[in-house]
Amino acid sequence: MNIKKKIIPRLEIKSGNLIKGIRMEGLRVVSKDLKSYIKKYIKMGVKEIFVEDIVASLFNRSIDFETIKLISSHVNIPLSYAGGIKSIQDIHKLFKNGVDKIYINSSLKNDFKLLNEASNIYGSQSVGVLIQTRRIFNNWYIFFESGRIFSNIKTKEWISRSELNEAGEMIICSIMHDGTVNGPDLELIKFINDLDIKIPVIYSGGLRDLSDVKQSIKKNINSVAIAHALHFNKFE
Amino acid sequence: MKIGILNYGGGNISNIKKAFNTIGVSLSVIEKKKDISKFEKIILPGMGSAQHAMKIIKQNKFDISIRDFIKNQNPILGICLGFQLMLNKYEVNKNLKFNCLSIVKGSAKKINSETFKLPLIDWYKIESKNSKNYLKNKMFYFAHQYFCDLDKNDANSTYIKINQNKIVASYVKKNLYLYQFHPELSGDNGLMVLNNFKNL
Repeated sequence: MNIKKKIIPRLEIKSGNLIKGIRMEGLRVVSKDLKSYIKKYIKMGVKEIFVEDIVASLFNRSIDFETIKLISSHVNIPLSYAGGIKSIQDIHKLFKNGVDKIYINSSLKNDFKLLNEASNIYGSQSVGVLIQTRRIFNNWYIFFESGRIFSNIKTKEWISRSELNEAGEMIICSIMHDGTVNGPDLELIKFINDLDIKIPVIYSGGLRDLSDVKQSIKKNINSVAIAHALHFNKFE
Repeated sequence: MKIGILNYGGGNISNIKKAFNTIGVSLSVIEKKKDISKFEKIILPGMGSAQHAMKIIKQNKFDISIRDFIKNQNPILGICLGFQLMLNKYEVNKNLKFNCLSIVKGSAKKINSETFKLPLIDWYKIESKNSKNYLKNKMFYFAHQYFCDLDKNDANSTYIKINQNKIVASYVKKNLYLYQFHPELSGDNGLMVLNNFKNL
């Protein structure tokens, strides 16, 4: 296994800057030079570049197509995007601006129509869901808008509904491990691996180094998305 | 040199254009069937649902012009879905089958995967019986869940292997340059494939 090809750098953006928070809160600017980070990761030989506008849905902003276009011009591997996707028009425009794959979260709050529609046009390999989850007592629950909105929907049920509605892939983020760099959420990973999931899963949250990557990739989890540890050179 | 890329809905035209730009080729997007014959080479892009793509191809009568283009020995590049649509038939499931362009014998079928996940969204290493094939042992990016089940196992085809399942990765014959993977998303390896097509 080529381990670098299992790693997806996760670049959270706001107003064209690379940002990062802890547990999806307290966002700080990591760099104003997105381009050099992208170049570094492509040179490293990663699987794809994942860009997430972490505040678009939260502040009800429209998608920052200018930044996406700029990012795309430096990427010659797959580029995936999540954040503030509200309509099929948004999705058309994302693909036109160089995105290869999208992940939807907050817009599915009421129904899965947008997921279904996008998947029918672009194929399920280009359309997935982003899941922000946290355990409360004995159950895992879905959150929206960067972990701020508690949905009362069980993650297990949400995952199977996503699959039924033609999601081709899912990124599952541990809210409590996001940005902490204290190792993967082993309870969440166990929860994911105990489920019957037919599509590829990307795990994200807390990864520190290559041995964390190796530990996280098994059974249902095909790859991992990493932000903090990559941005702050923990892999060198 | 004039290379055109056919627009039949679907996703990745902008990235194929971008990749060709980096090797100094500006692609024109073809929207009308009468424009196909104006080009020396054409590209059938990938990504998107086959049914949707085939519907647009039929509506615009692209199918007739594509066949004429190939008969005239002009080079054609098919990427992912663009490769699958060259086959006789597309079998979405037992109840849903439809005819495709019938240029290469075979049909597109759902990958039979009991031991791995679909869609394939990953990088795989190319294998080939032909040791001289330049794609051999190089890694490319794949994103699909249907595969090209070719009637003849051609020496010109390459494949990837996932838990003993062989999946066709490319088919190159005469003026047909067909790839299941996405050269436009496969970094430098992919640019090499596009460069070879450019230099034909």
